[in-house]
Amino acid sequence: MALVRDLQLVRDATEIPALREVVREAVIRAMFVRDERALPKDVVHVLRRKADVIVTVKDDLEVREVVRVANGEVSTVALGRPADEFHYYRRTLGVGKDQPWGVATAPTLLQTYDWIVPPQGGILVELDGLTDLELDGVNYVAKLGAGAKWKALYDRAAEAGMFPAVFPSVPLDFAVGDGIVGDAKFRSYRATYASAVYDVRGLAGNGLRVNCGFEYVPNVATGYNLRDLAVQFGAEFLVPTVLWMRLTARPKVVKNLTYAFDDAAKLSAAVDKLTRSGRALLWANVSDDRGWSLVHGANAAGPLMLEVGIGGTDAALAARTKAIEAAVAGFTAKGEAPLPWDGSEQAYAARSEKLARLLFVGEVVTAAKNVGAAIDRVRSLGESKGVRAGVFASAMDTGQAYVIPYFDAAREPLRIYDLSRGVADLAKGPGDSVLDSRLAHLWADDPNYRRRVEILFRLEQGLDAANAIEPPATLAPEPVELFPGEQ
Amino acid sequence: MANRLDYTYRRLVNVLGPDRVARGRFETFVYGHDFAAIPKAAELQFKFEPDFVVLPRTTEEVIRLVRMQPETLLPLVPRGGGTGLYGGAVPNRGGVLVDFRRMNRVVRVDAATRTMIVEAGCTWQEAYDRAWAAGFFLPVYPQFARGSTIGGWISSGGTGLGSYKYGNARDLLLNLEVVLADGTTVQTGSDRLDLGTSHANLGPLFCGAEGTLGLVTRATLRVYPRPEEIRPLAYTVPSLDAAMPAYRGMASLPVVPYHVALLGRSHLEFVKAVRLDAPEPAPTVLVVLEGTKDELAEGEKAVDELMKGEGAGRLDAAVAKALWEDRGYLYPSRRISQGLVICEGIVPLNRFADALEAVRDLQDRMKMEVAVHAALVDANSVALYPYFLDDEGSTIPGARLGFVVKFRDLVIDLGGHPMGVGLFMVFNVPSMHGNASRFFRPIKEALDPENRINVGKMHEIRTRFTVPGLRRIPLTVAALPLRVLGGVKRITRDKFVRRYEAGGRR
Repeated sequence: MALVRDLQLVRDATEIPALREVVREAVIRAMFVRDERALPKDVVHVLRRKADVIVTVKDDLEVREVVRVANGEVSTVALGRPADEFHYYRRTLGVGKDQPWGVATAPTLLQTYDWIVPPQGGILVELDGLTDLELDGVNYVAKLGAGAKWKALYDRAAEAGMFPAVFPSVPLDFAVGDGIVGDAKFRSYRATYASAVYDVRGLAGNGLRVNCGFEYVPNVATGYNLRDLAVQFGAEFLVPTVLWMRLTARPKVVKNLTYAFDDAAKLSAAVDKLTRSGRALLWANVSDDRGWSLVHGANAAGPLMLEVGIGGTDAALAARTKAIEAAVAGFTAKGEAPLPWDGSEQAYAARSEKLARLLFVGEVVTAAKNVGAAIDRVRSLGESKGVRAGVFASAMDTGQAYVIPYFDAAREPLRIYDLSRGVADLAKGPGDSVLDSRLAHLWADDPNYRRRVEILFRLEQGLDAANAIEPPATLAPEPVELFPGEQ
Repeated sequence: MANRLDYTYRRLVNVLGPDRVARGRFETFVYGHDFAAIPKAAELQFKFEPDFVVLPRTTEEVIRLVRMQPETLLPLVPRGGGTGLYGGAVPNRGGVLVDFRRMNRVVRVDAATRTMIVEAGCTWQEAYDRAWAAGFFLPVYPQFARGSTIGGWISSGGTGLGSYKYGNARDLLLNLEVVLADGTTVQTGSDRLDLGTSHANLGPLFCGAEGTLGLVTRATLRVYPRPEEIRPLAYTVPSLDAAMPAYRGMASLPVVPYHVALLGRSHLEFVKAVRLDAPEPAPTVLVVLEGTKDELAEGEKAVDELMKGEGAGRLDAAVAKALWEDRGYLYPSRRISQGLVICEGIVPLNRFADALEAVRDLQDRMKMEVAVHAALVDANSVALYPYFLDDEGSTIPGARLGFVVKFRDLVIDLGGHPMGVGLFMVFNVPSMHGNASRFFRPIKEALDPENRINVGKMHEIRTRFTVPGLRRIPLTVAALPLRVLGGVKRITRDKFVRRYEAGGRR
């Protein structure tokens, strides 16, 4: 996650007040598509930087060593840095504090696209090696390395008669830490990812290991809310290494009821009514026929499919199924499907690979009643751009829905930018909607958002005073050559 | 000094008018307390009484108050209903106390977005009633809902009634309007959508900040469609710790309980001491279900089976209803003493029996009369609320507060954490958060670098003095007096309740 890095560069690169509104979007676009002809040299320099070292860590101690190198506690000579970027003195003399050189964390899998600004030199930590998984069956809590796969958690929990508290909105093979350092979206009908994480352990910029939460109990009324801060912005000021996640009991019988709709408006009404019904559901997911067939490996019964997870005893579920059917009236066919996350790890990973070839640009957060309108708009957008488009979506008991459009298009920067822009525009359409994606943040020059980001900048500076974690990019003007050609 | 205060008074009156600025001895005295039992001796260290009490009605007025602070140099202390337990809303060095209870409007209940917008000084009870009248349900609220305000409880970040099913205050929160220390406002999220972890949503940062990062003036909360029915079920069990499997089993019920309260015998004895119509004292489990009628029938059957498996006896529906209706009056015994001290802590559910045992043990050692009730917070954890009566005029003032310190320690030892920090329990922050407690100061400095709002709390304890050396109490020694007094308390035995019962209830 490098939200602060991206936003700071955009701010710096578009800071000429008179030109701000004129150049802002053009500069963002040029930065995203790497149009070097349209960018100043210093910006190009920032965009071309790469991590000097990529390390795969196995435990907290290794991460600590890496952070200590970045914050100047340990010499960087072993990494082959030149003397003027020799950070041994960084802490003691404050030299190099402003140098964009530190530790960045890479997610195991990105659903959408990379950040605009790459890690500015320094060390890129990959979490793939942090795969420990301990299930505490007594406490309904799992302790996981940040790089442990969610699917592994699901399988282990199933063996112990449990469920993870949240599921990936698109069944990709995410690691649990991708919710913090990447853009993985996990949720269930009742729970958000933030509420499912009890504790995040990581290494702070000062080299200390910190626990932002409590391993076996929720963080409630303990002063500043570090748990939520870590889940939301954790990768900005620490390298997350271990998570403690809440589990729930798996009901005796679990059913994945499916309802086919041929009309987006009817689907909208059904989802809205379902979220108003007060029913105890496990999940309520929507996909189009193509998305459905990619996930389930079978043909869908209609162009739009609603999946509703319920659990309980056989006798009780029969009555509940009837009540749900009444709530989602308007469907053309009904049935039952296997749970999207069941099956072997290999099969899940293979399917994830197929899904990951699709182009995702973010998620539209909207009211449940707008799901249909959002789907229609995504399809129209696809048609206008000449690409096949579809959606995955999930609804929560709050009446809110999360529509994730996908496109059958190559991950090519210009295309991504164009489609992302299109989705951002359509999110303005149905009302009560916003697009949750990185570029949307940069386009929407909302004063409230800008204000929050200013606070975020200040927080990040305070929490990582050593400037060792995800350091921002600095735009150093090119030195003026007074006497060209002379030495 | 007098001139400066007079000048400040005139400036405050200019902003709010004379009716909403108070500096009289009586008013400031009243605001020098919250629910915390403060020993008189603490007044040597802190100036609890504010110099002024102001009652703004609008966000603009709050902004003007904050912008005036660099002139007056008096710290601002926000206050809601004053139901906090650890001095979070009490000044430590005087200043201007901002009472939000005049900002108490329910701005609107929006059926389309299933949200409600309320001002910070509105009570939870009022918000609940307004949502209910509009066909909606505000599912989580504090046990002091009648007095606790929206801004106050969000700032305390607490857990409350309904948390088992719906989470805590943070989970209801879509947006906060906050006046920051520089006199600007920030909208932490959106009024129409829950931004979750996106769009730099800062709402969670202010949950639990106890008013030290800014003045919350308005909140947008999630409301849910009104349930068809709320059905309380009450059971007596052999002992609260013996029914552990049943509490575990709640997690696998087909219908998620709305609220699960565990009422210890001691708690009901305390209640019975002052209310003859209270249920007979016995360990009691109150399970509350809400939802559609058919699911409630299914849930009731499942809860019955679960509880009977643990040897529980079901109480009459009228008793269950009475217990549920009294959820806001848990401490009627307060009236037989000069003070009431409530401790709060969360422990993992599998350590609940250990926690109860440790509380009993502590109670015996300190020769105190302690009552306990608890509530499940989620499938894995339980919030314990031991409480006792206190008498600030007793021969060893504050001695019983040693219990609070020891209880908080034992909760941490059991893998949980105490709740609330305020002014008096800041010393718990390093032991609760370890290395992460070092983040507290930068967070405060990022939002309030000039120390204008509710200063000297959360990461430090500032006293009334400005002399170096006396300005702050080191956290390492802050609890020492209470620990020593707690040791002294072992000499005398409490008899509040027994004495009251022996003397005949009046």
